[in-house]
Amino acid sequence: MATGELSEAQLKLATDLELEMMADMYNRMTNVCQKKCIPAKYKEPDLSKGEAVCIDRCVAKYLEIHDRIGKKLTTLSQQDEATMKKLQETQMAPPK
Amino acid sequence: MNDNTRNMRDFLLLYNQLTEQCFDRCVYNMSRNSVSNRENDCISMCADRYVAFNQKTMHVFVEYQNMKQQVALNAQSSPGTSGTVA
Repeated sequence: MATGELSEAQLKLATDLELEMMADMYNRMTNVCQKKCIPAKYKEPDLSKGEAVCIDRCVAKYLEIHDRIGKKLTTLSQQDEATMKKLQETQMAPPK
Repeated sequence: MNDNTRNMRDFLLLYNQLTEQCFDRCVYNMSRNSVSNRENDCISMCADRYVAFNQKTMHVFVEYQNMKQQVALNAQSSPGTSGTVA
């Protein structure tokens, strides 16, 4: 990972990536919440109150879980990095 | 940098996929706005399992690819043998 300032190209790359991932997350969230909240019975075109509330909660929960998993993955990858570092150190140092 | 970007992108896609799958499997009660303890535990275990699953799948995939390559190489180096590689 580059330390210090990011070049303009790198910054643009990061921004584009973030945008793409946000869009992807949004699409997945939409799919899941439709599956959970909108039954496949189409009697009327408008959303019922229950469905509207369900969508509200579904989105809130999805975003919260998205954050929690993000933190978890960060911890896991940090642990992974620490383990890899330890492995490397033990490999480089001759056993006594 | 391109390689790094690709890795990052793959990781982020995995992250999104993980969120979608675990949400779908663990959350089925929309009676509250907040995430319950049971759901939280389920999500935590789901995430661990998914990561382990992904690692194992990659491992097996690479193994299988190597095996296929080896078979193809063997078939090339011994042209007398006829046979199809399934």
